[in-house]
Amino acid sequence: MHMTDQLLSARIYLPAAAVAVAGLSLCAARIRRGQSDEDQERSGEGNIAVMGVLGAFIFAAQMINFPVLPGTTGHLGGGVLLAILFGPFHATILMASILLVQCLIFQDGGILALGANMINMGIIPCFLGYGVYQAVSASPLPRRAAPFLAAWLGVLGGAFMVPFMVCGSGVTGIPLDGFLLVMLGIHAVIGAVEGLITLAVLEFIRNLYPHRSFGEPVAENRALVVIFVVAALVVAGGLSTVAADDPDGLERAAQICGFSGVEADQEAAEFAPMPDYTVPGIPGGLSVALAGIAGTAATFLLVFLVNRVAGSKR
Amino acid sequence: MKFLLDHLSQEDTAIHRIDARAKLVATVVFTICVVSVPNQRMAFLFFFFAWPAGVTAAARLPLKPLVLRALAVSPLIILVVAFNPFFEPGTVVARPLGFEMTREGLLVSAGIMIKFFACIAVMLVLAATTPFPALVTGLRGLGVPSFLTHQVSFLYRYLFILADQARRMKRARDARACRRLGTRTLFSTGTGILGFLFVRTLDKGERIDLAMKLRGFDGRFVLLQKPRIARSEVVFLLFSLVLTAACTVAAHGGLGV
Repeated sequence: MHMTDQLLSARIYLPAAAVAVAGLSLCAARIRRGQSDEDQERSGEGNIAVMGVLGAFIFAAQMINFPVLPGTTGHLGGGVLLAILFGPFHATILMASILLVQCLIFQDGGILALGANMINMGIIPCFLGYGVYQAVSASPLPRRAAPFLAAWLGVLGGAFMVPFMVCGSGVTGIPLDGFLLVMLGIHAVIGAVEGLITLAVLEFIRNLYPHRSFGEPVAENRALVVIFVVAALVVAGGLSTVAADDPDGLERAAQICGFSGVEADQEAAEFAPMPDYTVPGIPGGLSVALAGIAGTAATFLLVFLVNRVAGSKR
Repeated sequence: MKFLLDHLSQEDTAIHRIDARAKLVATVVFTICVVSVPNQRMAFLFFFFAWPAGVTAAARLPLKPLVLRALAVSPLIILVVAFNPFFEPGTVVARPLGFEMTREGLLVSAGIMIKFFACIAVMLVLAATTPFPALVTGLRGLGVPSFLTHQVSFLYRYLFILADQARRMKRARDARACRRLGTRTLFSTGTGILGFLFVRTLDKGERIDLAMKLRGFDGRFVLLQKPRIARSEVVFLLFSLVLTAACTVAAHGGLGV
C-alpha cells in the first residue's frame, strides 16, 4: 500500500502531509497530556525506549510469513494490533516512525508521499481499528469478532483512500472505480489475514498475561470511539457519493480547501482523461455501491467463519 | 542481519561527511522537481540522473548493488504502470488480447517509470552516504519533533537485533517441521512466534527503559558534537540545487525557449 512520489501530484501530497503532521502532533500532545497525571514522575517524555523497541518489533514481525492463498504469503501490518494494545495515539506515532524508516532506509514509499502514507497506513488503521474494536467489544457480537473486524476494516479503510489520492492527483489515467474495486478486493483478503493474525497474537498474549494491561485507555474513550466510527462512516459514505454522483466533487473540494493551485489545475486539465470517473458501460455509482454491499456481506460471512473456526478449538 | 546500505553509509568520503541536513534538503527538492515534470516530456527526465550519478561516483559507491536494490523495490509501481496504457485516451498503437493500448498511455507509463528510478536513485544515494544516526540528527535539525526522532532512532537501533531474533525463531520452527507444515500449523506457530516475540520485546524495552533512567536519561539526547553547516555543505547544496533547477527548467520547456 506504500504509494510512491510519482503517482501523486502536489495538490494531494501537500495537504496530505499537512493532515499527517497535524494528526501526529495531536497524538503527541495527547500522549503527553495523558502522562502528566500519572506517569510524569516515571519518565521525562514517556516510555520512549519501550515504544521504540516496539516499532522494531513490527519490523521483525514482518519477517514471519503467513500463507494467504496457495502460493502467496502475507505478513502482519501491525497498526491495529498496536492500537488495541496501546491505544490509537501511541500506535499512530509508532506507525509513523516505521513509515519514516521504511522511506528513508528501505526506499519503501516516497518521501513526498510520506504524509499520505502516514494517513493511509498509520492514522486510518489505528483510529478506525481502535474505534471498531471498542464498538464491537461493547456490542453483543462474539468477543473474537472485535480484533478481527478492527484489523480488517482498518486495513480496508487505508486501502480505500489510495485510489482517491492517486486518481485525485491526475497523474495516471486509471479510472477511479476500477482502481477502487481492485484495491478493496485485494485488501479484503490482506485485511482478513491481518485480522486473523491480530486476533491470534492478541489471544496468545492474553493467555500468557491474563491480567496485564498494556495501557489500553478503555472506558474514558467511549465517546471518542463513537465519534471515530461515525466520522469514518461519514467520510466513507461521503467519498463514495462524491465518486459516484458528482464528477467534480474532488475538484470542488480542492477549490473549497484552497489548495488547487493554478499549476495543479492546468496539469489536471492536461492529464485527466476521464474527468467524470466513469467506465464506459458500468455506471460509476453502481460499481462503488456494489463494492460496498459486497464488502458488508463479506464482513458478516468472515465474522461467522472466524467464530466457527476459532470457537471449534475449545 | 546485514544490511548493505547500512555498511555503505559507514564509509568516509567527502560526500559521507556532508551534514545530513544539506543532503535531506537536496533530496526533497530534487524529488519535488522530478515529480513536477509532465510525463510527456520524459526525454528531459534523463538529465536528472546526472546528480545521483555524480554523487554516486564522488562517494565511490558500488553501482551494481544499488541498481539491484532499485529493481527490488520496483514491482509495485510496475503493476500500477502496467494498467495505464489501457486507460489513457489517445491513438491506439496495439491491441493485445483485444484491449486497446494507446501511445499516450505508454508515454505516461514510461515517464512514471523514469521518474521512479530517478527518485529511487537519490533516496539510495541518501541512505548509502548518510549513517542513520546522522540522518536522525539532521531530521531533528530540520525541525522534525523529538517524539518522532527519538522513536525512530530506537526503532533503528533494535531493528536488526529483533529481525535476527524473529529469523532464528522461524528457522527453529522450520527445522523441526521438515517442510511438513500444513496451513493451519503454519498459522498457529507463526502467531505463536509473533506473540512470544512481542512479549520478549516488551520485556527488553522495559529493561532498556530502566537502564536509561538509572543512567540519568531525562528525555533528551545530548550530542558531543553539534553538527555545523560549513563550507562543504554550502558548496554541496548550491551545486545540487543549481543542477536540479537547471534540469527542471530544461524539462519544463525552458525559460520561454
